[in-house]
Amino acid sequence: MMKDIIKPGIVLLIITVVAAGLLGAVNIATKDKIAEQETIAKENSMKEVLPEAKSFNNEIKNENKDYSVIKSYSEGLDENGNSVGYTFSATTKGFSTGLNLMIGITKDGVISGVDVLSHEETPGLGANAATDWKNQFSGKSGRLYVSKGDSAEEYEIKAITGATITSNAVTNAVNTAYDFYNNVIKNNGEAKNDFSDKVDSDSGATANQSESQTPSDLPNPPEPPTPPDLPNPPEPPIHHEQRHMNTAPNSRTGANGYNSENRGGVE
Amino acid sequence: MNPLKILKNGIIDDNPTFVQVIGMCPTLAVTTSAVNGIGMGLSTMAVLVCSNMAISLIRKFIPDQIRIPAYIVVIASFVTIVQMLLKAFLPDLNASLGLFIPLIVVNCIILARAEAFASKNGVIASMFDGIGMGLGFTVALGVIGVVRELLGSGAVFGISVLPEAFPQTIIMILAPGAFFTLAFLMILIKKIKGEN
Repeated sequence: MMKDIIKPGIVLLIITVVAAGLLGAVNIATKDKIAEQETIAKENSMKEVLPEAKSFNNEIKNENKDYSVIKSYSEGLDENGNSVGYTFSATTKGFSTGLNLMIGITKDGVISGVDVLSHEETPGLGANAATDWKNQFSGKSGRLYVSKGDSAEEYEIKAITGATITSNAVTNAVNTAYDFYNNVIKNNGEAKNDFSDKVDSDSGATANQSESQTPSDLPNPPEPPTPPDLPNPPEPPIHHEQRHMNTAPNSRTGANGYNSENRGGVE
Repeated sequence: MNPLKILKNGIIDDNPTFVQVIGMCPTLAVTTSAVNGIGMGLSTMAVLVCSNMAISLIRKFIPDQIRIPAYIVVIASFVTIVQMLLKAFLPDLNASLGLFIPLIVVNCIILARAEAFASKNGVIASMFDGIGMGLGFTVALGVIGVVRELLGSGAVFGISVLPEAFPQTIIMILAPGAFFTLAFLMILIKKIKGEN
């Protein structure tokens, strides 16, 4: 009787110990190589989203909890060592966890590119974020909204068919990077993590920057924190509706960017 | 057993998707395009061949009571090792197949073949069973993928084939489309085989 319990137990123990040993050995053998591949991929991605930059300063870790989606950022330099913009490494949550993005913003405040480093979105739907879809961010600036119709206003990002959650996640991350750039990096002059005078310097800097296309940003403090573990990063719905009343009164119905003319009805 | 017979059994007579109806989760989830379906099928086949062989090798050591946890440990370790090796040495392949690899662990075809075949047969026969079942799975996923991609995005293997005017039935690349396609293909196969 005891034998029937102990023997299988020991065999299972042996199997799991062998399996754990093998996994550990393979992990040690491949860990450095994987880190190296990830660094290469990251560097390529940084060059892709900020093509003007010839080299990059060391990455700075973001410790500002208001922008917890932004994990780190790096300043891009041209051949003379002048700053041309920043790249932001962001980790957010799409339909699945672990949506890692690289976002490039030039020093003029224009989004120069968005790249998907790694993701676990549904193949064929959310995974399309890693295809040509992400290119529509390039050249835009200001707060962006996801649109489900065919309309392509300057501030609109056309949603991926059948993957609105992924589209929203990427767009929110880009908006957060944009806010982070304007509210934290630019207003502090230098890239440093001192945020005590963030709100004060906000009004000062926007006065001499011609950011008039984002009026909703002005009177309000920066976007509330979007913790990456929330299923849907909160959007500021009031901004949104105000914005649409100002700019496109007929094309929208709701605060979630849903276009009533979209007959597809795909969620 | 005759290797050819084992192969034919996996691809046609006992096709994991259309006849056994196992491994439905990846079947329904990743067949949004032909390339995805075939990629998933081939990665599953690679793991299936190796796990079948490994389990066939140690089948005599494993007491009956603990065979299921033992198989799961073997399969999960195997998949994790494959993923680490891919990440380290073949990053490009990992970028295109990486999504599917964790899904393989929960694919019950692998456990079903370990239980039904590899635990009772020799290493060579188990290898052929893995190839046969893997090919059967690949073909099934490829066919579902082609149908869904054609109707859903008007393309096959990413190349547009239908005229612009042809309406793209978006529902076909969403979850319901997978059920529709699978159901119609199963009806078709039963008809061809002359069953009711």
